[in-house]
Amino acid sequence: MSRRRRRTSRRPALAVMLLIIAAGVGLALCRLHPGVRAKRPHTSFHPAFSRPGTEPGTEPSPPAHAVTARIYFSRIVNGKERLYPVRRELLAEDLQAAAQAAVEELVSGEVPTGCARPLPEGARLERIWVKEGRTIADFSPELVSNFAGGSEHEGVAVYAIVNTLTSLPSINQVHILVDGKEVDTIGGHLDTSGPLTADDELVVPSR
Amino acid sequence: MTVKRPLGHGRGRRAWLLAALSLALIAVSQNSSWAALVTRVAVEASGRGAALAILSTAPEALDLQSFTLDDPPRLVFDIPGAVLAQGQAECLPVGAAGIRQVRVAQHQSDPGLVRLVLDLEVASPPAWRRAPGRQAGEALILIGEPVPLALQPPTVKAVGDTVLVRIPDAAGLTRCVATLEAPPRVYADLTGAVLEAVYVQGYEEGLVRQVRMAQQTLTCDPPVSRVVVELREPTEHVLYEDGSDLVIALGPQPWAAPLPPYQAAGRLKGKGIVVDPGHGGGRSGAPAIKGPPAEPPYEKDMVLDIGLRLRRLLGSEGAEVAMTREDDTNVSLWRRADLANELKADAFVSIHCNSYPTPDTLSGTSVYYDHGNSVELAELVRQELVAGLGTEDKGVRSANFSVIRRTQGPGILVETAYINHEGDRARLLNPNFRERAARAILQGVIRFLSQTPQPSAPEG
Repeated sequence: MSRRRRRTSRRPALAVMLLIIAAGVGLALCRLHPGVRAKRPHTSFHPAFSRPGTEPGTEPSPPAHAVTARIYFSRIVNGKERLYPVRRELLAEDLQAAAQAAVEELVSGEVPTGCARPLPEGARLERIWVKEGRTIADFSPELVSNFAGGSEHEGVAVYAIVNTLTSLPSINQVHILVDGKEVDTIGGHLDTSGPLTADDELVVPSR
Repeated sequence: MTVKRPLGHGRGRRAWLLAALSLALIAVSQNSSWAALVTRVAVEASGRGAALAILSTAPEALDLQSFTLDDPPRLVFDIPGAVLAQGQAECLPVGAAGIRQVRVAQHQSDPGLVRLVLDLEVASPPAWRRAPGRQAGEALILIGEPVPLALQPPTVKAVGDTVLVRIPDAAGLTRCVATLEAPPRVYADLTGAVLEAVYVQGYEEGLVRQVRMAQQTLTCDPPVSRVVVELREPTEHVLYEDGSDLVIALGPQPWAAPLPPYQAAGRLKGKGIVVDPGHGGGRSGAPAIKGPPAEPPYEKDMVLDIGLRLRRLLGSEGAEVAMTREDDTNVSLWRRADLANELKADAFVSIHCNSYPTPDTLSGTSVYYDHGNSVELAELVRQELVAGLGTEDKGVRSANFSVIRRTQGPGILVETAYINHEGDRARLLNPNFRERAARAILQGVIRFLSQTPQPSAPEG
């Protein structure tokens, strides 16, 4: 290829150089935008959840706006572990960015007094997809390998994720993946092989 | 010392020679101030390490020199200027810490030299260190890394009504335990355990007044260390192993009392029950002391034990019993429930231990159900468990755990107790507690199946 190009005139080479410069400027501009664009998932992973028009540089980023989410932390009430919701304002350009920001609040956000972080240490959100009310949240392997609890805590860990994400407008199902793969269970009690809907029984009754 | 009159007979001459030799030996050992008499060499070994005790009459610390020899590999300890007491030249089998045997001999007589040769199983000699003995003239050689036989000070912790005296890394030592009166005390003799120092710790208040540890004796083979717990009042004691630790639990522990044999009455004839011990194989369940990754004791082992006890009890009442697992294998959550559905079981019981990430935080017993046909079974089993075990009642709760959501007939998931709560784990580690748990579940199942007219199980 290169040899053929060299044989022809200099103009195509110049055009290629210009193209490279333009792409570089475009990328730099993209990086200036706030939000989580840079962390977008591979669209090839779950084709059903790739969104049209989300390739970098093909559309201008919408401005970030505030979304209210309920982040569910772990709290012991009367000797039982429960989910304790906390309202948090998230700045996000779209629903997917809001979903990612919500899970990141759960993983590394401020823990309310008297509460504990519901997810195992080291568990991180790797990728997230949102489409038509359904979310696929892919976590790092620590979600399983560092899980330290029984059935009660497994319920709290899993539904902390599910309830948090479904607190966002129009999300009603969450499918948890680990290391890009479906898992039958996190701790040996709950079935996480498919999408889950929110569980309100685990939530601390509102005062 | 000289004998003037020679004896005529041959036999008599030999006797004379022997007597003279003995007297000469005694003279050497008594007259020479430098000669330490090695009175005893004892060796105690486990798979993890070995302790070599050398007892002597030396007024100060024994002079020990060590070196290695090849082909075959040997580790040698020389005690210069020492004489071996009569009958102590011997070969002591070891078979641990890479040592096949220890040979003890008077290597040279003038000047005296006692030699201990450790015949090794491998070319590289094991790590060893010298510890002071109980008194001058004694030497303790601890071989192998780590050396678990050297006891560490115990910890004392009150958990509810009970007090746990925990001796680190002392599990697996054969021992005897007994009580003494005036003052009331419990002691445990740990065979093969050595102490580097005497330990005494007093407590201002609570059930335990003092804990002390001392080397019981090094002259007996193997060495024995005694742990004494002095109490303010007489109480029950239970000895158990918790991971690598040995624990003496003190205080009222009714759940640990032995049970009379179970009297079956055929109350489950014609019934089919599926028993599901949780986890298994590579999935060991909730961590107990350390982890993740979990280290023993494992939830999977405790729930299997309870499950197998339950199977025997159910069978004795005439029920047909199927186990989702009966050994240390993992079964998928779906398969567990599917077995109950295929067999159209009258009841499905999944057995678990609970856990909360921060140890010693939560405790107690709970029973979970998913659908309406299981509420009554859950409630009856909860009543029996709480009454029989004396654990904290965490009630009946609904949850969509896979095995109980998928079962079509009545199905429950029992969280017997918290494996990472010290008080609950003391219970779970006790076979009589596990038998009580199995009997409580059995009674709940019997009550459920004898009071409810059973609708035919829904078709799959």
